[in-house]
Amino acid sequence: MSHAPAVTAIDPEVRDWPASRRVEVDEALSHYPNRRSAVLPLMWIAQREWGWLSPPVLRLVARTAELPEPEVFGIATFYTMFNLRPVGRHHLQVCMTISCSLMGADRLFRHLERKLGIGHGETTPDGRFTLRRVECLAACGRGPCMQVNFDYHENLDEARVDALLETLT
Amino acid sequence: MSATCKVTIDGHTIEVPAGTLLTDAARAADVHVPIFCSHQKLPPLGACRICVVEVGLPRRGPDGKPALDSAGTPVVTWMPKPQTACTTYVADGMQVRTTSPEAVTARKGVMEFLLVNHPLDCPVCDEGGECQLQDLAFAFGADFSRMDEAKRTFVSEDLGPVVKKEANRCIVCMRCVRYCDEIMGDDALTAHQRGVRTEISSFDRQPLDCEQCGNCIEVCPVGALTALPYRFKARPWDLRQHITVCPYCANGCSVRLGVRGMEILRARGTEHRGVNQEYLCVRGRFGYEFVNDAERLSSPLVRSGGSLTPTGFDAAVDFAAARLREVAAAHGPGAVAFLGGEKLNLEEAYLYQKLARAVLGTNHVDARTRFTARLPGEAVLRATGGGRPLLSLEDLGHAEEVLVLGDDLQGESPFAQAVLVRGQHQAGLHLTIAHPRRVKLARPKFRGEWLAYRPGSEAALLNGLVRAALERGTPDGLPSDVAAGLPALRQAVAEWTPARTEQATGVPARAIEAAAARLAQARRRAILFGRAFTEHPAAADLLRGIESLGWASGALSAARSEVMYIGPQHDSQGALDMGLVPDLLPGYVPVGDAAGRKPFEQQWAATLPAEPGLSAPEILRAAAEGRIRALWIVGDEWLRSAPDRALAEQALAACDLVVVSELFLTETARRAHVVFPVCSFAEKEGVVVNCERRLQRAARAIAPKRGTRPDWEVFQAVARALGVRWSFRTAEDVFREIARLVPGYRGRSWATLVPLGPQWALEAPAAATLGAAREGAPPAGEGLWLLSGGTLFLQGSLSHRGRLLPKLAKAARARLHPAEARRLGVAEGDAVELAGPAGTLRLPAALDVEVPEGSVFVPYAHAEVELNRLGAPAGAGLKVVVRPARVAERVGA
Ligand code: SF4
Ligand code: SF4
Ligand code: SF4
Ligand code: FES
Ligand code: FES
Repeated sequence: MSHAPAVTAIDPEVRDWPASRRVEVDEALSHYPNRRSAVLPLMWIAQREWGWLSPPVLRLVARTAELPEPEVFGIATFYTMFNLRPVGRHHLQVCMTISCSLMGADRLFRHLERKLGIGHGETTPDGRFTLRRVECLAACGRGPCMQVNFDYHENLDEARVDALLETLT
Repeated sequence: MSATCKVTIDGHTIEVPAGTLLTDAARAADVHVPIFCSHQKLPPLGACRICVVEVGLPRRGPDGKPALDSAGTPVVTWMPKPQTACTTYVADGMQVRTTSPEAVTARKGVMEFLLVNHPLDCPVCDEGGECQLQDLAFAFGADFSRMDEAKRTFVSEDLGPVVKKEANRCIVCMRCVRYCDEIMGDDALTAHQRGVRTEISSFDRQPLDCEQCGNCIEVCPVGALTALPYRFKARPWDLRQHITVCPYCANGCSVRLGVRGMEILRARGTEHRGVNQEYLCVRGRFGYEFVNDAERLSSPLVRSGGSLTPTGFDAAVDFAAARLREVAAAHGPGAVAFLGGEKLNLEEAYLYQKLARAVLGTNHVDARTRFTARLPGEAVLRATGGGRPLLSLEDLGHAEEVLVLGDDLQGESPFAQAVLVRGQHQAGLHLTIAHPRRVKLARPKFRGEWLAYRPGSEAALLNGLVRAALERGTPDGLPSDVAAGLPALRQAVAEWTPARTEQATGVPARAIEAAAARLAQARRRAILFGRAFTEHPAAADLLRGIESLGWASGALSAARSEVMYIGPQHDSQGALDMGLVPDLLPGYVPVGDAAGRKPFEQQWAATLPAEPGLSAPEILRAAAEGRIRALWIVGDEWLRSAPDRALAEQALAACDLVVVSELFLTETARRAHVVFPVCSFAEKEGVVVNCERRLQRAARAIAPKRGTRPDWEVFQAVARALGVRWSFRTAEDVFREIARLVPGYRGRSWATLVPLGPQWALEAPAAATLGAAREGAPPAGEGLWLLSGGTLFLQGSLSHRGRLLPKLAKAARARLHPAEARRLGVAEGDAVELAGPAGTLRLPAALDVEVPEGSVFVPYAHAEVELNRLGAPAGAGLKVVVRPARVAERVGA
């Protein structure tokens, strides 16, 4: 069940940081006495740029941080917020932890599954939504809650979610 | 703090050095403390918690002295929780309980956690029967589980052709990951995910891009990592285990062969024995396939008419003896020569030259068949300190500064490389790698210095280093002959200023000075050299340069040597020691030294020739020109190893008699008149000598394959057919004669060589030869410098016989710098033709930034690469013209 499949889709084009990201990359590196310490900020920059961390992207991060490639891969899998597969434009992350769960997160999640026709970790064929269960988002007082990309939406129910989805194009 | 501590473990009080870990103290006290994650070669981690014990310390009074109770015994303060023994260092007065109810309960608890997700599939697990988890579950675990949740499961993976992974069995001890990183320097494995889902795998679950050593399998305490080549082949209790010495390089690792019937089913490290303990490289671990190969020769062959015909052993012996006698009678003993022998056991090497010298009366004996020029037999001995006590492989790991001259240790000496990687990681060892190519150890991650000298500038580099080292002053502890010779040496290298050296070698002046300074200042250092210099056409000069550098830098002193020679074969050192060179008798006694010859003449009841014989490259030429008419070649695919293929073909065709001792019908054997099928390393016993000059017993693991005999029996049979009365019953008998006669070996016996023999040293070291190295003339003609070197996955023609090693090695490529390739109009995978003075070679090209511009790198160990077809290097090396082969012949990637 917890076997994470190999990252299959790869983008062979990625060789280097685009010129537009150079400043950010240099800035991230400048914060630390050695390059390896910048590995997490570099992954964030990469994810902002490419949406997910493909093997070529992780190789680039490894080169930039002067870390062994397998180690960088391990780091990327350690944190759940790095995407190791392509995600849709809107990444719906539904909290399933206890407070939200008591407030109906399971029902909400099932509703989303039915409505979008996708399950946990899947993406709609049009690339619009990716649905995912996550652990506590630290908004426990206002459950059920869902994070969409970097925005929080709280005190949700089916109707509110439906209305929200309309606005996410 | 006192240098030793008294510790009481389960009532046994022992004294151990301060800084000892409790696990090691317990071992010393003969108390069993179980471990999973801790490992002798890795720093303490404390990941698995199985080693928990109760620890107490004496309570101290206000005066700092141990407090005593009313009965006068020290009061012990027990730590409130059990401690991991593998991360706890001993302290004076420490009390340890491993079997108290607290310790036992804690261990049981750890065991229960470890088994929460474990599949308990021992019946189908290759580790079963030698699994530490199985053993400890049996010894310490409960017999039922309180867990009824579903276990988390992973999918099983083949991580390449060697490593099989069943992550369900993994206890996340991290040994594999850390070993690969800290000792192999490969970082190929990593932990994916976290917590209960942690899984060991590679980058993106791809096949491991690594040395394929299988040491991760070896150190895995459970069946999570197992060896694919051994998968489902046997149960450990069905195997006989024999410890012998690996035949694939001069490091002399101990290997534990697992044998069933007549078949070797696996090879493993030895855990606590040998120079290597658990370590083996890919060749040592997976290279035994040739022993079981169906094509092994099983009968002597004698040429009759045009073909080789199977014949009985006695008939073959008589044939060889009669023809040897004829040739010697017709053309004199100088018409007979003996080649090869670096793969023989010591006793066999000894008898081989005894046959040549005492029976046939010739000094044309040389094991060093690859050499391109004559090198005095003593050169290696002198370069390594004249026989003074030599640093060991273990010392190597504790050196502060190590200079590797010209060899890629990954191919030539994998274990020494692992020692250096570990020293760099764990003990602050600094590496200086002098090599034209960026070899593994020269990569930035090992934080050393890479002296990227231009091919052909080896002599200049040595001279520059010698001068820079002497600039730092005169080292201490020089013997008087060296001290007296230093002014002359100073003079001889005076012109090699850092600036001039930079000009000649391309290595920055600053780097040369810094490297010399590091060597001179280090308290413990090492200089390593091997084939790249001994097989160089200017070898004699280069070895004098190495020797001079040794004395100039303090690596050699009156008391000791820190210069190590890494020969091409596992018993290269033994062959030198036993006089398989044209100018020395066993024990480095010059053939021209009448007094030194005497004991040999007495023992052998023969008058020995006093003129030095021809060296291997000279024998090659003499045989091709018809001056040598009979050749014996032992364990050597000479057509590949002789420096000039065309000349070797000519020589074999011209000789009246060619005798070959071999395991297989090699190309060379096909051209012989007599072929003797001989035993492999696993089928005979004897002594071998590794690069630290350590004597080790190589044991017999299986009976000789049908029809084969150990080489020494063949030599003895032929000697007897020639009329001498040798009567050795065993190899040990031969060793007894060696121990009576040979300087450096006197007084030794087989019994004292187990498990690990001593490093030999000479009571009277050889005199030093100081001097600058003369530069060889640059090779004539245009073209690229030919660079070559060893390959991790292949070593010698025996390694070509199996399936796994050639598969791992992939096809050979001519490697070119991308800029060079662009100039030549060559793309990755294109076929290129290399043209040397004598012939051509065709290979697919590979682009490689690690190869310097102006040169082409071709590995020499692949079966399809016969570099000697290009012609022999001369002067400073060999140049070849590289051009694209016709487009139609593009070779697939
Ligand atoms: S086989 Fe050797 S190099 Fe490869 S992953 Fe295992 S330990 Fe590392
Ligand atoms: S695979 Fe084996 S060595 Fe590696 S972490 Fe798991 S149990 Fe330890
Ligand atoms: S390092 Fe050398 S001796 Fe050790 S296993 Fe490898 S080839 Fe054999
Ligand atoms: S339980 Fe949902 S945000 Fe904490
Ligand atoms: S052996 Fe001590 S914690 Fe693993």
